[in-house]
Amino acid sequence: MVQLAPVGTYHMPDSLAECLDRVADGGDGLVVLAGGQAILPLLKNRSLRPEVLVDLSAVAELRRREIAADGTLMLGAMRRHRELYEDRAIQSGWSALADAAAAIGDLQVQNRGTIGGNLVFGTVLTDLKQVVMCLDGRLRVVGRSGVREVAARALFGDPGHALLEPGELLDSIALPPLPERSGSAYRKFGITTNGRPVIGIAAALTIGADGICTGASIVVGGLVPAPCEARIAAQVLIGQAIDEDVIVHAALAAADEIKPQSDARASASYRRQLVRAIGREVLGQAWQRAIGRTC
Amino acid sequence: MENAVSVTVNGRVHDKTIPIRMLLVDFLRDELGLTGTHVGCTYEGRCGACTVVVDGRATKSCMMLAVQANGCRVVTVEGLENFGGGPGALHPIQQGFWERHGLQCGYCTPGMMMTIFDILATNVREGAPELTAEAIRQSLVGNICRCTGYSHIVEAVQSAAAQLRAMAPEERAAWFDTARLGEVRA
Repeated sequence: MVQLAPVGTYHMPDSLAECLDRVADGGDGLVVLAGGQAILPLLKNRSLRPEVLVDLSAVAELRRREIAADGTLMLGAMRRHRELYEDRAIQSGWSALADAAAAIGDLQVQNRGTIGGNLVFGTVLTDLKQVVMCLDGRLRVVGRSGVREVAARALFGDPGHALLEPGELLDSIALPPLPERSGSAYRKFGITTNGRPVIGIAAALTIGADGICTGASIVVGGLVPAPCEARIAAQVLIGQAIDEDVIVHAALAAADEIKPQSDARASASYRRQLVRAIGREVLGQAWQRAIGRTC
Repeated sequence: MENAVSVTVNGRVHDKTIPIRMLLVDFLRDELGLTGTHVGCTYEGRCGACTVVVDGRATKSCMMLAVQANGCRVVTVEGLENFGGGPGALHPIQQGFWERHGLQCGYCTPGMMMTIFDILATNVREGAPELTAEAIRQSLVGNICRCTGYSHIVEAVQSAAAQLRAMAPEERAAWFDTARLGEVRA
């Protein structure tokens, strides 16, 4: 039997205001539970010994899902992975997010794990950071002193930048609509099926009616200390009539411009090889989606 | 250190006062004696043997605290026969495993069945379209069978899906309607 360290108090507030009060009053011994799929292992091995647990799962405000008049998708931080990839609007409008959510862990993890937990949890080696960067998302952070918004690209691209100050919570993310004739996709390689990304690439392409690429956004994750925007690879695509050859060139450019680390899971050169292989697949898929072919 | 909870498991409402640190799997096994839910990987969340259905969704019960299940409706492998109205009435999932010999040692079977409950409940909600072997395998990524008897498990799911497809829509849905298990105080 595994025994977690004793926990003093467990709160399951039903309003955001109460959550913020609990979090502000909690001090060092407080741990916030979203889906718990990353936190539970740390409780079990006693890396975390919280005095107070605050469970966010009863807060209706954090489960919102709206599409604004301008087409912006707003997702509360407690939306679960399965709710993302089963959402038809997300499947068609923000496909990279649906791809990524369906590739996080297994069905049981997808049933519990949340978008907020994945973004906030203290490692860069998760899937959604690079997706939200690629899709130009904004994060809405709440604290007792008010609300602030921050661009995912600025935040997750800069390893020195903490998402949350003490006492703050991630409220929601906002993803703008992609332009007409755009497609996005996410692919990754993990050591186990749907494991944490050794390399995970999010891509979004916009293709004009003449077949010329007018916009490209590629973000490579699985890198330390932060996901990396592949700007040179994007420039390989922009202004070109897209075909398989151009896509291969862009994937090669992405592999050249990143600075991968070597660690126990993969060497730097293997990570570059993964970027070549996965980059080709993910760009091909985003391209096919942009021109209206489903895959 | 302790919290009072009220959890409905297989249609029986259990009011208990339990340590906050207690995992749902230990609550089911040690507090309620429902030892059909197994622990296969020393609580690492890797094997799926402890999978139960919480509010309709397959959940690893070692990856959730029991206090988090307060107010929830949980179904374990022991609850499957209740959908058919009584002991011995096999759920289509159990019937599928029986017909296709979907188990060898049986250790992973309860977790497999409860993940499959979620897969088939979703399939039934979508009008019971054909389930491909690939889709079944993808959905069972989180359940490990160390006998490696996956082929027969996939066939068992297909057999269960075929039984359901042959039923009228209401009858089909009833096999997954957890409200039918009732809410009798234990």
